[in-house]
Amino acid sequence: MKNKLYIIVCVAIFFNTSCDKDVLNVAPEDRITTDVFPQNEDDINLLLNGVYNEMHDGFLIWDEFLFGFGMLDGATPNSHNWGNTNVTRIGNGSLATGDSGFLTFRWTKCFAIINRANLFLDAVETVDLDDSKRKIYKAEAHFLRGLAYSILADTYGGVPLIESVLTAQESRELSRATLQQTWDFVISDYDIAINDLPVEASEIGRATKGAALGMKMRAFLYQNNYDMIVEVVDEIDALNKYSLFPNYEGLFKLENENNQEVLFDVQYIRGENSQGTMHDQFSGVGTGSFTRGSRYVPTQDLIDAYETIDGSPVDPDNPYSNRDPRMKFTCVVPGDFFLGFQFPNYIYEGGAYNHPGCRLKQFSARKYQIEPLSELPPVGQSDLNYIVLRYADVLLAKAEALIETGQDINTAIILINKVRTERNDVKITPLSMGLSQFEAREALRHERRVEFAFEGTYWSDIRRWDIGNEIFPYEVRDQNGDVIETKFPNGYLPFYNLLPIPDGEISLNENLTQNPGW
Amino acid sequence: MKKQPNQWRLGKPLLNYDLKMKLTTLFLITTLFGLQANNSNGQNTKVTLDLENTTVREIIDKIESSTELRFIYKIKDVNLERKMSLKVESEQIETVLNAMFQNTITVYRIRGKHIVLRQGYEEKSLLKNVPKENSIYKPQDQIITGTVLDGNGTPLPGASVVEKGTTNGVQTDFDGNFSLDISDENAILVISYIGFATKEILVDGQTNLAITLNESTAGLDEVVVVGFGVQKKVNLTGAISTVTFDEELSNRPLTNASQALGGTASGIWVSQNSGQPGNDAAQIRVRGWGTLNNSDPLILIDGIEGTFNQLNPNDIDNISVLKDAASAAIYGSKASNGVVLITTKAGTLNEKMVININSYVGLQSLGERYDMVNNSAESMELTNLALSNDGVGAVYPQSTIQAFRSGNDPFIYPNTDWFKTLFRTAEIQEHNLSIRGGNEKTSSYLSFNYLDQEGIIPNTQSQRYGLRVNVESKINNWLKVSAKVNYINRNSEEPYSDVNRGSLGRVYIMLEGATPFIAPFTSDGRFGSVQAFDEDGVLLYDNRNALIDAANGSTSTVENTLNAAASVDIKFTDFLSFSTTLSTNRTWNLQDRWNESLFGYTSTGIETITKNYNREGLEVSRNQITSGQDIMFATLNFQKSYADKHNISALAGMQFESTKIRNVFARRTNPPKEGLTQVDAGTEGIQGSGNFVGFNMLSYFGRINYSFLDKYLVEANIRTDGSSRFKEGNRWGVFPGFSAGWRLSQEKFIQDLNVFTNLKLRASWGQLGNQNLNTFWPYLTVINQNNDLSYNFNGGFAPGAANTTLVDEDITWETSTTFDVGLDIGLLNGKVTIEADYFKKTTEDILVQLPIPQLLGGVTPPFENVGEMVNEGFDLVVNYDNGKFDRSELGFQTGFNITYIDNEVTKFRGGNSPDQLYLIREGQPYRSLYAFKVEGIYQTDQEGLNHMPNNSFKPVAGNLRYVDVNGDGQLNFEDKQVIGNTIPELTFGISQTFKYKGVDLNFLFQGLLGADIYNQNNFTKVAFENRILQSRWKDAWSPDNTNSNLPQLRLDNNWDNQQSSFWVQKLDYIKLKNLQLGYSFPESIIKKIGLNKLYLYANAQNVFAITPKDYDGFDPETDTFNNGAGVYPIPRIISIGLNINF
Repeated sequence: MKNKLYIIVCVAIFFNTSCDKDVLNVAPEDRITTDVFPQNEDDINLLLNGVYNEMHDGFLIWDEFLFGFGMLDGATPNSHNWGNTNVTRIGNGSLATGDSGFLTFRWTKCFAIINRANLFLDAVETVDLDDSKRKIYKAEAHFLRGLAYSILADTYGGVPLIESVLTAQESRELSRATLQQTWDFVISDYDIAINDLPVEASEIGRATKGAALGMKMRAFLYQNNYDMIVEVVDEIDALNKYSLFPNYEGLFKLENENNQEVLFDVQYIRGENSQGTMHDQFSGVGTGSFTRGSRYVPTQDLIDAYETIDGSPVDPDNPYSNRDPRMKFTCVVPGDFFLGFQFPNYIYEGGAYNHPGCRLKQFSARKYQIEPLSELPPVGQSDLNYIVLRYADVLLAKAEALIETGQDINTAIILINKVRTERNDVKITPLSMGLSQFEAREALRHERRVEFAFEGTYWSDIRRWDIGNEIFPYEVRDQNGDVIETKFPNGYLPFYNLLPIPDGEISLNENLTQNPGW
Repeated sequence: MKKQPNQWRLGKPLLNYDLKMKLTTLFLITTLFGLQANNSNGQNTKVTLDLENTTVREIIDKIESSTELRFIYKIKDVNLERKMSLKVESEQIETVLNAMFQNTITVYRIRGKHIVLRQGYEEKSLLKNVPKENSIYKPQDQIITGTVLDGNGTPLPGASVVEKGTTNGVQTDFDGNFSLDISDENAILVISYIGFATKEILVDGQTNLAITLNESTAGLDEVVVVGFGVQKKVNLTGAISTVTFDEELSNRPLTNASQALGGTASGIWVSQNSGQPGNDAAQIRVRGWGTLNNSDPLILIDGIEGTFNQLNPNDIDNISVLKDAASAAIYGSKASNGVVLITTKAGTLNEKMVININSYVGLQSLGERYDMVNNSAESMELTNLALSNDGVGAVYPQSTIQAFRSGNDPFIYPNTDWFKTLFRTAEIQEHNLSIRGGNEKTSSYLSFNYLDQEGIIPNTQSQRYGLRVNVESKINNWLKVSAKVNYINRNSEEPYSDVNRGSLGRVYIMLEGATPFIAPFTSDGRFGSVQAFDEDGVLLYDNRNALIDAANGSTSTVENTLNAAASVDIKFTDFLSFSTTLSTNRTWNLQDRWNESLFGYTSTGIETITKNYNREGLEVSRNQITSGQDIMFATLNFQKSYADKHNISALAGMQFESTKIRNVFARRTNPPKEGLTQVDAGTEGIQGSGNFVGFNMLSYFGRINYSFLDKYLVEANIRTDGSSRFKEGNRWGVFPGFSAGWRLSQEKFIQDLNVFTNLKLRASWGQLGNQNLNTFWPYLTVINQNNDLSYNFNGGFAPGAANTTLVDEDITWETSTTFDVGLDIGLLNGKVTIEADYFKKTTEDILVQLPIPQLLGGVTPPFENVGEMVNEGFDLVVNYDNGKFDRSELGFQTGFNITYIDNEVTKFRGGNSPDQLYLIREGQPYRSLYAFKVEGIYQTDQEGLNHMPNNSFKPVAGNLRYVDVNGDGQLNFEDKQVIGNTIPELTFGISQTFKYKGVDLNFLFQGLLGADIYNQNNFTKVAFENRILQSRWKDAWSPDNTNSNLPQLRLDNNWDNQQSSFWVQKLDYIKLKNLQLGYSFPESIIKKIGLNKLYLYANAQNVFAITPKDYDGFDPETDTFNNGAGVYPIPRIISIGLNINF
């Protein structure tokens, strides 16, 4: 009897835990699941901000960036990027198709923007929203998607065009569009953005009509499609919003962010919210007891590119005086003070110096560096915005179009001279009127190089002008004249104008073809 | 309908569980107090019975129900079904028992209130026909008396004592005593007992002998722990390896119990991949890698899921490893990678209290290491040479090199050997005290353990305190309760761990760039710096003084672990019982980090910092992880035999498990003053985080064993598991297992051969599931929302969200099916035992994240049920034990085990998977090394141009020449091929013990064959950033040294640094893992000072390894997926210790 009672009790215990199937329902408490998202405009903003987010840089020294401030100049004679990074290899012809770094990172970043934008464009239709707002939100997504495709086209050529949310299987089957189709796709996205975006955004940092026009202009420029440029520039000017900032040095300072020259930039802020960059940690000059990356430093070739103010020859005894002021706003040259220390310390005891890993010790980079020492942000919190497109580019693009179409070279010269003379702190000898098309072209190309040095544009310019074989090979030398790097020692070949499609992508998708030459 | 994900938290089950827990606790407390019940002598109990034609069983029941007396017996010792009549009136129990068992083989003894029934002498064939008269009436007889005890001093009743060469013999009584007349005072007595090694003793005029028998490992009565129970080893039908924690193991300086498995059990591969104190758990693989996911076996400590880290090795009694699916099937979904069952020590009833002390102290040092250029001048010249080979100017001026060559001041011109400088000789000591014993009702085991280990890297250390209490109490003949409590406190210390590099990452990175011309210290005792300057006084390299990062601040971790389990066993009838266990496993892990500003100084006084030192600034942080796993399981057990032929046992059970992990993190930066180490001291950079993850599982399982005549054995298992990791509808998996055995040695025709003491053929088939993913909700599409997905507008924060993970909602269990056939052989009277197994394990629907194109924007691939893998191979164990345990004889034991595994991924993604170094591809072993194959070195630039005309980069003389597989004159992913195997094909262990006159010598070798590692790392590469150089580069290719197989010395040469067979290292090795020499003092001496045992020993661990000639690196016992750098090398340990038992 007693035994039977035990059995009943035990069997009851045994089975009672099992009855409730809900014990297997466990859910995360910190994340949103798709069945409750998106529900309202706030959710839509979360998703859209997530698209913008992909423009932020990653770990700069591993070449994890979409724009990367001046890091990309390492692929050109402008700078020496030490440490054998992906960009260094792009710039000296030792890149392999299986490399990672910038090669895969830029690819991935662009497609992240594209896929997030596509998801957003689907999601934005599912919530209750004022139609005018919906239109603007969608236009922002189109702008960002166009921007991503323009970078892809410029870097890799024609790429797969994705217009909807993609499954893993579809991603293994897509094939490449032609270069022209890709650019057309860019233009159509930009056109939607131009049509629907306001001139003044509701918040600083959002895409505007001017930004979309500017990027459309650049898209034509990068296709060498000069016929379209003047028209777009006129539309930009019609907005009556943009002009040269009177102070070149100040363009790249925190206090002047979002000034009248900026058409579009990537926004960064300081603080613990992971909204800053590593830029100041990795590109700066070392001082006293701490070193900073000095990841890209100017070459003699870039220094030589700066004219003297009055056009006279450089004084060999005082090579850094009487030069185009943009030189010292862009580069730290011997004798300069930086962060309160004199540079470089092999001349000035206890002074500033580049990272010991960097063998190019006589120059360092200054543009986009935060000063003074007391203002230096903590690691990963560098808050300077990266300017994607500024009005000087609009002026010079129009000038280039005028020169290349042979229409009105003198008007082009006037535009170039604006850049050379209209700022308070940059006033150098204006170009004279009546240059030949060839002379004007050389002057324009020179102007673009020095104006935009360390802004990541020269690499694109070299490739679209197809001048690699004129400027390479280039030997980078240290202060003793020893060669420390040779860029394209075996000469520059046309196929370098496009990066290869990353090996990993091709091996996963047999429909993807490699760029010729790689 | 929208789901309401939080509902479950308010649901009933957890509350129920808590309630149950409380009830059980109350129940336990009551019963434990009940133990104090009186303990009067049963001898005087009077019994009244009036029974006609009643079975013995019923008589026993009657006596038990009418008195406080309880019978203890083995069913086979007593014929319970014999019927008799009994009529007594208030008789002494003794009289009743005499009446009950006269003329039977059963004898009795009354101990307190227990009546112990045992099998008497009659059945022992050895003595059956001994005519006692023959010996009794012999003249000049001498009477020898004595006691036979087991190793713990417990008397052995029923042991046989025979005069050698005669038929004269007796059996010991209940107290192990015997008395024997012998004719010859020089006679030899042979003492034997089942389960113990037979012993021979020379009488030599002694008249009173104390004989201790040692348990025989080859004994047929050996019991093996199986899932939810134990089984006689001879009746096993599955493939199970066992490790008993004998003297050899308990004296090894094991800092982690997992190390005990290495080299000692077949089918199990253990690799201790780190020597970091407090973080030295090994990687354990049971029959290789069974899945593409987590391949760790399930570790159960006394039936409760746990980890080796939570265990004091000294507390382990034995370990069983369930290798085949049929054995493991009872554990269902968690068991697909094998099950490691650890049983901790326990006292036994009626056991004398024994105190055991085991202590050792030892020294650890760095064993094998990379062979580096430690001469500064030579190192600089080689770097200059590497630069000039690329047409680049020298970095070290000749004047600097010359100064180092002629200078001899070690502070100004150092030639630092950084392995010698950074690694130190570190102490280790461990003390263990345990007490075990039991009275008639309660047995207990209590242990206290202290381990203090310094690390061989400065500023690393760990202390562990362990306390374990195992108590088991028999309340009455139907109720048994037990409780096991284990508490571990571990305090580990290491330098500040940088957020980017992690634990010790900065120390490793510095070491990987620490050139010989960096002085460890300045002449005035400060940290040193780079001593190479150019003419301008500019430092030619950044400081990589690893001692600075090893001294920086602190990361201290306090880990408290509490395991508590309470079990109740209820016996309803002889054949039906119920058992339930409630357990909890809780850990509290608290980590504090802070850093400080430390600089190095050149001899000229320049202050330097090490690369990227404290890039986060000064910070103080605290992180707490609280995790708890509650498990409840219950089983209903049935065991019965019919007609003495059919033995049936069965088990049904259920288990519920709930895991919750919570963490909280707080951090601030910039304390106003260095040395303030609490988060509150920080003034900026406030960060905080906290989250929760968890999952639940619910399972039902059952097992049936049937054996016929102990010859034919069959077993069937089934388990069904539900996991919260899958979507409703896909949650449940069913996992069956079957096995069968045939004990040939029980067959007449085999017995007639007189060769085998044991011969058994067994076969098993079973299926197991796996859901052990690193993620808790793999089926849920979640929108991540965090700062790293956000942006900013108007200079302010703008939160963002994105879908960063693809999901396959329909995923469900992956299933592995294992077929195993094995043969167990016992030869030479059990001295030789052989176990051989063939197995084939097929894992299907492997949950795997297939590589996806970056066209998807870098999202995490979904888990999909797509992979399939086959592991096929064999295990073999051969043990020889000559059975000699006496001091005067040479005892000799040899063990050899080997496992061969052929692994193949049979299904992955259709077509070719991507060109990753650790390849997962159909038709290849899991994680094969996949890269270019080197076929030589280009001797001329023209050769490079001819061979690679279409490549974007044109290799030159001195570059590696790779096989151009498709002959297209360029090198890309299509030219890669399988060039190595990371999964060892053959793993083996060899152990050997010699014992003579109290001295014993043990050694253990372990090794592997057929594995390679990819070793491109900062030690092996030639790089500008990390300018250290392996000595091998002195023999690099040059126009004058064209026979070298090393490419020309060039810094960061992209062509040569591509993944290729040049960076693949054969890992085959055999290693003396352990060597021990001990001395056990003779009993005659130690008895006088009141000890049972006094044992002194010296031990060496990780002594040496034989590796391929070109092997360069740390101890080869390493993770084969690691490139050989960034690891805490496992130390060589030399220790001495003693073991006292009283």
